[in-house]
Amino acid sequence: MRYASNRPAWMEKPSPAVLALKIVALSAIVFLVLFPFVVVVATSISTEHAIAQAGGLVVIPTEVNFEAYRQILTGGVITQAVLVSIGITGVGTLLSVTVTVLAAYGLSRPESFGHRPLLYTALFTLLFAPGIIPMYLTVKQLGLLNSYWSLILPTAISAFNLVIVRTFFMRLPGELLDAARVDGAGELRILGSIVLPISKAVIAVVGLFYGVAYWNSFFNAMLFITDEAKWPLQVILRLYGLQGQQIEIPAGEIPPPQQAIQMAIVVLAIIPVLIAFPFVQRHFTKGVVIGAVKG
Amino acid sequence: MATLPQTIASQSADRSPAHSGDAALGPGLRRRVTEGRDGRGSWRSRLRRDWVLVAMVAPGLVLLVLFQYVPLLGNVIAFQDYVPFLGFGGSEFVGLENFRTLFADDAFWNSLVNTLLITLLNLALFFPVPIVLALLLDSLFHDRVKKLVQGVMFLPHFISWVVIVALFTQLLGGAGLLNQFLLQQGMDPVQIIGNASIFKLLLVAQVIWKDAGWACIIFLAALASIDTQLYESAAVDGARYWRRLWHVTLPGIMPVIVILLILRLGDALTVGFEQVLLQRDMVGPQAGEVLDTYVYFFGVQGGNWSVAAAAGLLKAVVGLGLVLSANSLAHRFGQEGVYQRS
Amino acid sequence: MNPQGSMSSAFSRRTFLSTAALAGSGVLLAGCAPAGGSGTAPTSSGAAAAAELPTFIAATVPPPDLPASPGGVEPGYFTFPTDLTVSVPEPPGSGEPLRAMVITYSPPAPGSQYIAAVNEALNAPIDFEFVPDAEYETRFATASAGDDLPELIQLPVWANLPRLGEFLEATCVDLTDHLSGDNVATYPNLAALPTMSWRNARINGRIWGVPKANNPFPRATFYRKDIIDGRGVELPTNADEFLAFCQEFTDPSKGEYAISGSNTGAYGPFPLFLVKGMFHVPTLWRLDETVLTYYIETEEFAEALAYTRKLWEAGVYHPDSPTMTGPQSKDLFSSGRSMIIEDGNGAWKPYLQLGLEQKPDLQIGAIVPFGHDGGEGSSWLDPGSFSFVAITNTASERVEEMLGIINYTAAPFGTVEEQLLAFGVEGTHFDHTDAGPVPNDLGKKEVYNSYRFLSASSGYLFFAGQEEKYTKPYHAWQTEIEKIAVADPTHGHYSETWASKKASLNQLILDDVIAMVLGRKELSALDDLRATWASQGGDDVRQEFEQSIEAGE
Repeated sequence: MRYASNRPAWMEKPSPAVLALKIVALSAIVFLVLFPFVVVVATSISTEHAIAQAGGLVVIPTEVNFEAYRQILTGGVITQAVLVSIGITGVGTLLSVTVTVLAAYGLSRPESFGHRPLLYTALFTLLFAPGIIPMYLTVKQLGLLNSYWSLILPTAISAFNLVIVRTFFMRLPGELLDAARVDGAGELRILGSIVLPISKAVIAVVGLFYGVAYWNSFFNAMLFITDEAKWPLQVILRLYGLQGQQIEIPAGEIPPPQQAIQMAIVVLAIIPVLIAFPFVQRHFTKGVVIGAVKG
Repeated sequence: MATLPQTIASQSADRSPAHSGDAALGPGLRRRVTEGRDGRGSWRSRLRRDWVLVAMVAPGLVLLVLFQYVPLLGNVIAFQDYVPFLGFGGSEFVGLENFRTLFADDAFWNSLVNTLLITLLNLALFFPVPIVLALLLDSLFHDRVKKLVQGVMFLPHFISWVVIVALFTQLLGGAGLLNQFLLQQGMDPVQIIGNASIFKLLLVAQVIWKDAGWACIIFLAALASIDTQLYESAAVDGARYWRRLWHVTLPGIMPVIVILLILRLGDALTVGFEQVLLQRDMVGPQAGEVLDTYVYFFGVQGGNWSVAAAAGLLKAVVGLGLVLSANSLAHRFGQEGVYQRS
Repeated sequence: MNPQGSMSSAFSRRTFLSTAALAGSGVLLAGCAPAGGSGTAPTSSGAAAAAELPTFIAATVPPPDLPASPGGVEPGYFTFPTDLTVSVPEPPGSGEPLRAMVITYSPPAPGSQYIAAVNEALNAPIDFEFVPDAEYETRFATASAGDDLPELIQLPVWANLPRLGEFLEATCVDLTDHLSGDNVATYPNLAALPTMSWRNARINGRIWGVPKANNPFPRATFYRKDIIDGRGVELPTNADEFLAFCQEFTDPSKGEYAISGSNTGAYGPFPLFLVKGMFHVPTLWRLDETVLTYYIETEEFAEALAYTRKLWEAGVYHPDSPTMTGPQSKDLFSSGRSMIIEDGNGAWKPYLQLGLEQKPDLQIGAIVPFGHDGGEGSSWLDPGSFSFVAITNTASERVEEMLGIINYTAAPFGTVEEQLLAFGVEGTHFDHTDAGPVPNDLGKKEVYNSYRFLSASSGYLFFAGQEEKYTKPYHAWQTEIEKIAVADPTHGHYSETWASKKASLNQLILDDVIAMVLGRKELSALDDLRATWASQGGDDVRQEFEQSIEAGE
């Protein structure tokens, strides 16, 4: 392995001017992205006093303490919710990716039986969204209220992700697949041994999309789960004060949420994504050699 | 496809029904292959041939029917004066009254115009950014730099709008760092936050900052899926970076670009609800109200589920129209789009 | 004295005060006189043949150091009482399980020993369904659509609960026969709830629930007393002085502004109840004979609006008020970069508690509204309840048991029950010290307003060791506000249109008020606003309230 460079032989070296331009552009991007995040982390580990002195958000932490994290993490409320969230994200993502890949493959051949009606049935759901109350009634009728499945099944398949995966599948040369068919391979085997290995990138991305959606979702939990022991992390975190618009808080019932806690919540919620991302990222850097995969 | 790798090109030739090699295949197999290509045959035989494919779609379809189509029936409340505890059966039917209410309200039209303007700005200014970003990252050779940039650029996506708005206010607001600096230098403060004339640009700038890196991921995946042999052949033909970009890279990711563009059009009447809700007070509804916030204030918040459902149906119909036109436009340019021409 | 002659209607504060002249010493009389029962004009009434509100029977409570008033001033205690009485001798529950839907503002602890202990004391295994505050209205709609309502359901009076009247009639138990008039005596803790707090639980003439009582005082205009005293600046006494006062504490180059607001909450960035009070703007409605006028329709409001704009133009408002979040605004106040902030009056304690940890000499005060011309100001009054709990038809066979349970949760200060509800189990959740009960870590985690959100007695002022900074000034503020407070004539009346359109009508006003203060619209746009407001439902609301008031006369 060459150190720090994976330039293929056919790629030319960039000119110094282009290189300089790229360095400037990338530095700007990294700064723009990281600066606010540094502010978030710095604020989360600052005392209320330091935050107040800084006028709300801290750039360089002066009085470091982890009180906000201690407040959130003690008491067992979070640990329970983290387990719930991990379970739902894990099981949900696995189910979603499986169902989506199967459906995308099943819909990837325009001449197949029932292709158009099936595809349209899926596409239609991109435009027409069901309302909150009918959704609640459906989940209730299916007996899923207060069940973890109510947090997975309603969002298990997204037509958006389905269309994305299907687009990738349809870019694969049909000849490759036909060859395998001629050799007597069943559809499942073709999917497993030919299509999937060269589609790792898109499956990783869609897995990430699903995973993040499960991890971030709170609204369904709020609607369908009345047993607070089954609440996922995001419901708890929102209660710590990160709501879009707070409705009126009764006179002095609850002290206003603190900035440090809000920022600590942002940090806590992003950690799993930071852990998961490298696994997804792995699949971006590898080029694909379609021709090399034979049926 | 002149640059198609040799292996595929030869396989492709093999598949031609007229090819003599077919004679070597069993008759049954040959029929399957030929039918697969022209799609003829009775529906019975096609079902017998494709039942595995249909079965693969089935689980996803069942989920969609259960959790999308069944509750979708609830949209009947758009034509009712729906009261939750009376139910669908007990609520009064009012025909198109809810739509009339919307159409008669100037504030509705105002929010519709704002929404469309923001969507246009989004398409023009936001949409290309992740593509360019992905191409830029793709052109890097330095593995560590590439991984680092990829690894941080999606971070803002996970910061909630409440925090982002607070951040923008603290940096660019009337008493923000920038203006305080200007004041201390004896200069006049500049009004960025709360300036109605640039409010929509501000919204788009925030979206770019928050989501460009995240949206980039899917293009990275598309780029990673391009057959490297195509690049090799192009290089053999003497194509340098820009020609390779034009002839290999862009065609390679074009289906994904087109799909995302069409899907975005389907959502044309949906622009960042929470983002706008948090900031519209500064510029007022004239410049800041979008359809979703309008519906929130005048439907959802007052418990008027029927008006909200009516607005949802309108959004869907407009989205449907845009998707249909965009898709047929895509066909004209030789792209497949979301669904195929018959 | 009330300087505004026009304000003396049947429902002016004079009537209010005269009905309330029953204060006793040593006995906490936290309620108004029983409505319609003592020969004075009723402070509230419902539709034709409206049910009588529950008769007020004071509870015996420990003698306070600072007296309570019938108008709602809370009693102040310098030391925590130690002799507790028992108000509910027998557990009210039958052992049968029940569910209760209540709002929550912070995450409830799973497996709570606190809930287990109170459930045992109640002999009622209550299963709470906690609903995050921001989602309450949505959850209310789905729960009522789903036909599986819990036995007890908390209904906040400030929330947008459309068609509440119809909802109650269709799905909840009419409690009138159990609670109206003297019937409430069966439940002594409920009888001790202030009469005013019951008003919003009476809808369309019937009593549908039991209130969670609150003090009736509005948002307070807090100021940094330590800084202002330190600079030797006197508090303003008229509009011109207030402007000069604000300018004194504004220095943009240092990022200092006299007033900070935020986009959080229903009042928008420019609430300044202080300014409304300066110009005698009515709370919401003003009644002249039989005609209701909404506050935006009054000349006083136009003046208050013009003055608020003058403040904005003078630059004494933090310029980012319309986009700042609540916590941002609060941080400015606690760091001394803003001098004035408005918040619910109960925020006095948390502000002080948080602030004192960092700054031991911190002092905050609350400005009592003064007249813009230097005379007396005015203030509005809240309904005196936060929410009420309704009993749904799910429990139609168990109404008395439910009321018994609610009676327990309404136990007044100084009882064994109240201590259990407010602090949990001694040794497990709190320890007794000279300063009163001090919650330990488990107490802070588990003891939460689950039961107190069903019903709760009126409050009391106690902050161990801080009577100079908290108990005395807070009590004095409440006393002053009570003197200048003007009751709203529609409290205790129900309008179906208001219940449904409250949110959108308020938004209409909020948008235009912000536009006029910021200068996006001329002040003359107020006329358009009044017309739009009236045509989009305001006139219907007015009519419904007028009819209800007339029927109750």
